[in-house]
Amino acid sequence: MISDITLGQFFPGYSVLHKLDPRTKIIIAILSIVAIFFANNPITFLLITIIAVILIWISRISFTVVIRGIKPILLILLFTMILNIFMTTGEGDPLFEFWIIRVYTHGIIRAVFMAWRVILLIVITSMLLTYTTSPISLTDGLESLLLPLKLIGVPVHTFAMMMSIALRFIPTLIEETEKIMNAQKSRGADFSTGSLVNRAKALIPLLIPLIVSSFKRAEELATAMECRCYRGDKNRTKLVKLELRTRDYLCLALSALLLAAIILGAILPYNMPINIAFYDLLFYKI
Amino acid sequence: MNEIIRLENISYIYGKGTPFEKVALDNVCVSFSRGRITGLIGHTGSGKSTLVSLLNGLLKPTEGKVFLDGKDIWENPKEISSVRYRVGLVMQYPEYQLFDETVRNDIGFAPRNLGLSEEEIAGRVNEAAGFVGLPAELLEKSPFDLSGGQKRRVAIAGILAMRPDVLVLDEPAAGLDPRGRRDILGKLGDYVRHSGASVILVSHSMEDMATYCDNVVVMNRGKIYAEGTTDEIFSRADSLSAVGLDVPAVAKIAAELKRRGIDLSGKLYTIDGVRDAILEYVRGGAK
Amino acid sequence: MSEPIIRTKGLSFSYDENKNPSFDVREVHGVRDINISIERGEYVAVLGHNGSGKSTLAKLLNMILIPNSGDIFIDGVRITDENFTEDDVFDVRRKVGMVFQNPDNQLVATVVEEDVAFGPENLGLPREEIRRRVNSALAAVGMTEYARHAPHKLSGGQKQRIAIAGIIAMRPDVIIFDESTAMLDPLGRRDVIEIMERLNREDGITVINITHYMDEASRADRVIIVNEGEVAFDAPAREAFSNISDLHRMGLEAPQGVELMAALRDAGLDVAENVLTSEECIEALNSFLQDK
Repeated sequence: MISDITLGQFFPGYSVLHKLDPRTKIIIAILSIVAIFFANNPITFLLITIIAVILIWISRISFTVVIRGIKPILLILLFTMILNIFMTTGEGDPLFEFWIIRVYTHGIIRAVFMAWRVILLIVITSMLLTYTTSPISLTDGLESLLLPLKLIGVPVHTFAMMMSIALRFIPTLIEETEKIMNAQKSRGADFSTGSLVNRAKALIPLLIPLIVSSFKRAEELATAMECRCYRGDKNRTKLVKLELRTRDYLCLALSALLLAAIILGAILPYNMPINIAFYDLLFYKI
Repeated sequence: MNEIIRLENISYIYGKGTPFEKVALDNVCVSFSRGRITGLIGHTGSGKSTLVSLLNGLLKPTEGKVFLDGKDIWENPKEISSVRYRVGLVMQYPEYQLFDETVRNDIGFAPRNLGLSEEEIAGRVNEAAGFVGLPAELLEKSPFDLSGGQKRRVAIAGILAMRPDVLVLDEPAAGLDPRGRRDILGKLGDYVRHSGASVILVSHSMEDMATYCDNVVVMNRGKIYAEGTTDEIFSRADSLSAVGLDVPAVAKIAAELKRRGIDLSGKLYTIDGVRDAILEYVRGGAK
Repeated sequence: MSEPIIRTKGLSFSYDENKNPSFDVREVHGVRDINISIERGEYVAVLGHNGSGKSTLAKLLNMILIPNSGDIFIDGVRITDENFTEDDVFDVRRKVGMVFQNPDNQLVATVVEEDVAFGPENLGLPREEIRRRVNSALAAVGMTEYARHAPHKLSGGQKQRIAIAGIIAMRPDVIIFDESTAMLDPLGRRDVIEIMERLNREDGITVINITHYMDEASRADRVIIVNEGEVAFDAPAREAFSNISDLHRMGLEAPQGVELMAALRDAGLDVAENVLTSEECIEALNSFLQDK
């Protein structure tokens, strides 16, 4: 069911993470993405994992919800892992050989970390953005961050308005789709059996009414917006003004520090002269 | 057997096992008479829409059984589509389901799904279009070029073309002006007489129940609140007001006159009924 | 007497001439030679069958459509002026608010209070003022506790109340309800009617209710009947419903009590004419029948 997917959903709440300014969260999310791509050894991965766990913990969203959010991409993860295992050529003898396939220890390690990287990416961005930030404040945050682009003629406000209207109408359209589907099923339409071609054909009685009614909705909404004096962002004020507070500055500073630490952790070790087993393990280059 | 559909101990729960669990129907037992127009009335959220979707197998009851002509419709889940042809459901604002290039093809959609011959389909389309009063010249037009009222008729014809044993209509007159309402609802009686089918009419309007229905089922909070002939239901007007259903104005007028000692009797819930009762009273008094 | 809030003179509009790109124009009439005048604080119902042109009239009044000929004066200002600027249009729309039929298609935001704030935000009001207006508008429609809810989870009636709050928050002089109760259940309808009458009575807002529910129309001070694009009738509600055969000819009905009295007269009973409400009907019939 469509409603079972938790990825991309917003969970209302009152945690610190919920209260942070959306711009702070967007910036931290970008910093995290950079950090995750820099991370290339166990110690940096460990650090980012700890950060992810802390984020989940302070958001007060249950771990099960977060894990359920990863479910939809498990297949893709598995596929990339297999590719990584088979495509990586390592030094020394392969772990085992079969026909033309050679699996190296290094390949397995790489695959695990690759998957881990994707999971971290999804967990951290959804913790910061979708799970704890309402769509509307996310749009506001984006609009505000992209505002400088207005100077070079990018219609930032229009873009943000379109996005928030799209978000507003997603549930309405899902409901509508269900209704039309039921109406056509009542006329004997069959959406779930038959060949691929037949199933595609069966979608026509669903898609055409959906498109027609969406156009009608769009037209009515545009009229209603004009009636409420909408004329783009000309002289427009906002009920909710984004304001950076002390906690935002603190979080931003902390994130910058952590990013620096991770980059250092990823680059520095190779220039260090010491060489002991434990150290090797921590900084094993993936 | 004089009942066409019987619901036995039906419960329906949305989102069972999730935090959003909601009981829509709670142990409902009700039956609908063959060859009659039965009204189904209740507030939004009373469970009547859920009940309607159970009748043609769009939803499967969480508990309980739905019998069509004495046979459990979920006995063989693979044959549920045959139930959908026998119980024709006209959804709310059905004009939104139109999609084909011509009115003719759109009305013929269900018969075509039934696998009928082109000849048979053409016959059914003409018959159904005739029933809802669509002029033949409209059949070759695009359904999107019609007026709102005409689109509504096309959609209803699209269900009639299945020749269902039971016709279920969910607010078929919503949003129409008085003439449009009369045109569509007034045809139901003819349809029943002509085809011998049974009709279930879902509506918010007590006037519609009073004017067009033989029997009435009243729902409230997922349960059957009252059922009986229209006479029986409207004779207990107070209990309808108790669940916030509005009795027709004319029924209120008649009830108040009776309370003031004017002894009226008859169908005291339609304009014609009250008129006749008053005429009767006047004649009786003159004697 | 002061200048009427709305006045039209020889107003005409037809859809084909304007090549209007609208999707659903086939079924609607334009309007021809409309001359009406609505005073500040009036409560007017506009009746007419589907496609009679009554909604077209409404859309002309707040400049969603531009007439082919004739003039419209809002609060004494001629809005059909060719030299009208965008700011002037803006002014007209601020004064004449409009609530539509489908509540889903007029809500823009994913949070109730942000939707109500949409109008005031467009007006460029300071934040504190927006906040005040949002709060008082939500209170006026009894939806304060839903301020932080998502609109798509509300019932039809509740959504329509939010839509009304969104208009109230702009503090208009006139609110036009364009079949705003057509898609609602009886309870939702009752709520919306109550709100519109309270706005008229207590806040002095001019209310124009476009409807084809006769019981709603009979509550208004005045009824304008639009038929095939023309004003067929413009009089106090009592008179509007006195000519039943004309109403029937135009595809309309009278409230049930009025219909009953007419039916009795047709059957030869000498019952009172000129009743409007059920109460009047009861009194008239009571005194008529008690004598028998």
